[in-house]
Amino acid sequence: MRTIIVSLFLMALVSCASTPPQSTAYILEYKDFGPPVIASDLIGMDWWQWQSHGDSRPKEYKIKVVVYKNTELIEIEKLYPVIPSENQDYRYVDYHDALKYLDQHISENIIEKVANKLIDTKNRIIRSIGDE
Amino acid sequence: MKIFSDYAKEKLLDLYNNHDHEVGSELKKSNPEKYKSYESTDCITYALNVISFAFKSIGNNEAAKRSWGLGKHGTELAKYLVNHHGWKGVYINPDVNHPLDSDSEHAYTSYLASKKCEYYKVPLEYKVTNYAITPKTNPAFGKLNKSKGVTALNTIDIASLEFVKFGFGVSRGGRHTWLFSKGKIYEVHWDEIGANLYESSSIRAFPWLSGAIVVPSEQAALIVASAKVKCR
Repeated sequence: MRTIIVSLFLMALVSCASTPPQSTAYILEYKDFGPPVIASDLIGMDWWQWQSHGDSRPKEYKIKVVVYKNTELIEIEKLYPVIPSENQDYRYVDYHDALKYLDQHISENIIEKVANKLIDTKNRIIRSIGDE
Repeated sequence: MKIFSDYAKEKLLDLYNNHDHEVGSELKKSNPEKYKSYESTDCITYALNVISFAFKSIGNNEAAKRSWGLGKHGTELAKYLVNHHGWKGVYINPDVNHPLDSDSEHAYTSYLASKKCEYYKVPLEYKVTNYAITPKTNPAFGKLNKSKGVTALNTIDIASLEFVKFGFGVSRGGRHTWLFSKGKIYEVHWDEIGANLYESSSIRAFPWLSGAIVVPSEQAALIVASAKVKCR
């Protein structure tokens, strides 16, 4: 009995060690990627993607950005679908593309407040779905 | 002899003053039966109605048609007018350091306008800025740029822009589009009908803050040389 328990414990340890990080996607807000004038190159414009333009009065659109890795885009799209009737708008960004974008604009450091925001976004992504 | 800008201003004012037959596109979508006898309009449709009318009036039906084809996206239309019809791009921003909404978009677009002479890839020839300064007493002051003092007021450049008879404007990369004439912004609200469907306001108090206006080249000649940007 004691042998079985020890074996199960060891198996559990091996299993834990070989399991990749469970989280393969991390959800952020559009504004976590800085102002639209730079973010739009990566994640599109800051209004509903199913409309050709936005409201005539300034307002915030609740757009979510899914950063993903170790998985296919098609799987992410199924998990986080875009549903216009529910104002559910997701943008999808590959992990490496997101970090490349963030690193570039952090190093440019045009506006300190923006650079700090992007550093925070990068750290949150790494904490959530790992570093490579 | 009338030119493009004359026809454009004529149509701009005609629609602004006479729109009983129109309804905002989103309002119509919300109740198609109620508004079935009305023509749908919104910010970009207003601009396209005016620009295509003016192109047709000067005998350029091809440009009128092309504008409608591109008009879905405001920045695409602006780029077309600059790249194919010699219009000039003018960047606008009432206070490049202390925007009233504290949004970094305005300071960032200002930086890129100076560095690349572009606004969302719309080529720029002029930069008219700092014409409505945020005072120290405003809660927005210093929120974006803590270390910067009160921005120096520039009334010369904006005063020359206010002579321009006609322009097509985009805010926040085309999220909103509008028309410009003699210092006033003319816009349509897609969720309105009747008196609130169209609105005009001074460019100095426009709540969208930064953006770009593209103007026919003969109108651009009215803008003072001090507003020119040089990147190329």
